[in-house]
Amino acid sequence: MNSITTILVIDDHPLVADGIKTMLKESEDLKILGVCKTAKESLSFLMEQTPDIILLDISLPDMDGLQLCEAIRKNNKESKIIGLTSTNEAGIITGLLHRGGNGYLLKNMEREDLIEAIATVIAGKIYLSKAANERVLEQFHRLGSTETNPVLTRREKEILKLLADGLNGPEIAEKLFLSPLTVETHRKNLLRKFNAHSVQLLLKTARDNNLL
Amino acid sequence: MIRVLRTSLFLILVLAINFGYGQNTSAAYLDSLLAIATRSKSDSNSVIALTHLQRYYFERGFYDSTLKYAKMALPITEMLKDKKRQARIQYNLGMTYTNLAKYDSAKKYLDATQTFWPIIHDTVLHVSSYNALAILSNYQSDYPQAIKYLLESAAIIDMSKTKAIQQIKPQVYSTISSNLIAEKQYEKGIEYSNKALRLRDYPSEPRYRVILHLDVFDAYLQMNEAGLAKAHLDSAILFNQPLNNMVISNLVSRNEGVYYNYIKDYSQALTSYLNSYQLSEALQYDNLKSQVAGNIASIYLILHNYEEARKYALEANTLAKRYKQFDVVSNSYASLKQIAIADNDYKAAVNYAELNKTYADSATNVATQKETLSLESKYQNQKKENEIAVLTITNTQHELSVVKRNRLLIGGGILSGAALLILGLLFKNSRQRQLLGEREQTIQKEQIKFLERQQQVVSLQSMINGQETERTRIAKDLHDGLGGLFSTVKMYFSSLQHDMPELKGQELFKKSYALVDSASVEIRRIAHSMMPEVLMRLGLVNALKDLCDNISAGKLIKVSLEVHGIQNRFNSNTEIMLYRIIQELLNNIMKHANATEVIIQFIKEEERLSVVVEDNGQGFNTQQFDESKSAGLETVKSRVSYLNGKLSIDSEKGIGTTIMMDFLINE
Repeated sequence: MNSITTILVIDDHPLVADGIKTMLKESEDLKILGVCKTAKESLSFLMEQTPDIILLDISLPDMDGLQLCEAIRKNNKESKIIGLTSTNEAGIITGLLHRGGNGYLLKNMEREDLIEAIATVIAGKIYLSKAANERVLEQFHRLGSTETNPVLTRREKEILKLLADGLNGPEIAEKLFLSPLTVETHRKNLLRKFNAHSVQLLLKTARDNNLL
Repeated sequence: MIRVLRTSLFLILVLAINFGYGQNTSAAYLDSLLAIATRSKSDSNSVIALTHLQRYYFERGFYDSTLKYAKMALPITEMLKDKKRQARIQYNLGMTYTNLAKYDSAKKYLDATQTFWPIIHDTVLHVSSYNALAILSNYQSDYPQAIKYLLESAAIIDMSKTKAIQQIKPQVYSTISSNLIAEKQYEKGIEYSNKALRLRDYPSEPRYRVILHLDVFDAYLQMNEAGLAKAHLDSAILFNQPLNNMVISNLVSRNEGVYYNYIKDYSQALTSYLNSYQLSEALQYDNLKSQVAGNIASIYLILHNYEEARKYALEANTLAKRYKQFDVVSNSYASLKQIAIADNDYKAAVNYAELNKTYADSATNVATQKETLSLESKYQNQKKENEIAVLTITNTQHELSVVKRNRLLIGGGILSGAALLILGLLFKNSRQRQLLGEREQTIQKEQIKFLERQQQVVSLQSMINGQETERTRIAKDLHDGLGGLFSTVKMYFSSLQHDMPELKGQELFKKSYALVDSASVEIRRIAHSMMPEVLMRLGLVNALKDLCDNISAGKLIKVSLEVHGIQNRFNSNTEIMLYRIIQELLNNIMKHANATEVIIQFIKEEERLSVVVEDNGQGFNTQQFDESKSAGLETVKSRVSYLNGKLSIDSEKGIGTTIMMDFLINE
């Protein structure tokens, strides 16, 4: 890398900012432009300057870090935003990426991780730390395995079949030894799951999808 | 509405005889019966013939003839010393008098039936007569007494497992159902009706089916569930068609009228009521006719047909006065007042208005007396109610807890009721005071209920809120404070290692480095389990996705999540509570269920939120699960009730468990 990469650290924990500074002090091509402790502070900082990298903690005193990411992206498309947090929950990771983040790093990182993360996002790629990557893959795995049809519960399967046989709510209740109110709930749930407004439409959709 | 209910009860009465009576109705058959019955020599054959005749007329509501033949048969049985038939005829007389609203005579004959029991050992009759006494009490709005009799029936049914006895079960259930509906416990009432409908081989006589469906119809309508009510009304109509029984057709028509009136289809309502009116006339049911006439009058009033309205209102008025149906009288005056106003006859209107008020007062007064009586009996029968709860009120733990709560409420009611009774004795029968007393009593009851509910909710809320606030705080401290500290220490180590590569060879350094790393991982894990960040920041659905993914990642159990209709976030308390419920249930499943697949389902439609957690594990007995396993479920239940939700468990051994929860949520 020829030019200097500028960095803004947004974290309300003074020690963390210190730790980052310490890790980067040896790297001459990386320069910390500033440290902001609040969302407000960082937004006004970004009005003046455009760092190459923003290291963003999602837990801030005045605004949620995910919201801040979104707010930054409104006026700033250039800076690469890397989430830097203590949590590795998949929802938070993908949440940040959805809001314009470029990378995700856990705070208990190694120096090399930080360097690699910065290099990766500068190169225009998404960086996920190893742990974060695993979590996101799990989520993708689930998305991939999700069938297009809604998953039906046992009772719903039974009731769908009985509806197809032409039975009405009270008759089904009688047959399955359930209260009619329970059957009604299942029936409503089935309609909602198949986005159907009538039992006829429900049965048609179910047949089209080979569920009956 | 109350009048509709009464009518249904009325018909249950009519049907409460169940001694295998054939449907042979030809005129020749009647003639031959008459011939046998009126022979000069009286023997057991004439008793049989008279009994059949009596039943024939009873079924069709011709009570004068019923009484005539029953009373002809009674002395013959006495003469023949045929105790069994004597008892049955007395029972039938009791039923007939009940239907004629002659309660004293009815009670006399039914009690007489009971005295035969030690001699004749006719268990079916014994149970039936208790049931009849229950219906009689029910008809007089003395529900606790009714429950007492039902308890007796249930006890006998419980002891005797013969088929004949088991076949009476539905009758008892049906009466229990009527009692519950009369006490405004609609859902439980419906449940008992359904129980009766569901029993195998029952109802062998379709007449009962019609009545049961009408009972359920009535309950649903009072719950404003018009759709469900209609489904049961349709079933009743369907089963009624082949019966050709005027009494039941009358009842069906009346209920049809009520339904169409409810959905404001007045022309249909009129047709149905008029039908019922004609049937009442044919059956000479004047006390029913008065009520229907009142209904017809109010429909004509809505349709602005004042001439017809007046005609029916006057008829309702005359008949109802004869039968002391003060509420009907009062309503007829209300109709007449409206008609007078439409005629610009304000003098008459004022007059009718006053009469309306007077009779309304009488009606309330009767109700007050019944209420006082009912409270007294409730006090006496508290123990019995306790027993009936164990004996007949069924199975699920959930239901038992409801019963417990009700009993608490009743207990409170009894205390205030007892106080009022003493007050009542002091002030003797002043009607004004009684009315005042009733009002006070109602207020007191409401207060007790309100306070109890409030107390429960407040203590639960503060406990749970406190818990969750604390958890959030600790999680945040761990994450931001301690977590940040450890991360920083690790960053320093990392930098140190970069600056002094020789440290990599230092065993102690390597160990310290590794320990700091595991400490920060551990802190993250604890903080997460206390309060997931994703739940706070991105809401319930995302948090649930994470939760399911995390568990599925373990490969032992596959958790799928179905979410429909949730676009916005709920308030944070609700989200945390729902998340905890799911967390706890999943915990239970992983600990005890031995399941490989779980479905978690959140479906929201307008304000209704239905949550289902289903596993394919080993299932458990919902009535007797062991303490250690049910602790988790208890927590779930308290959280569900915190959200004012309802929870039901449906578990089958070897197939799995489905837990359904329903909530009303306003975002």
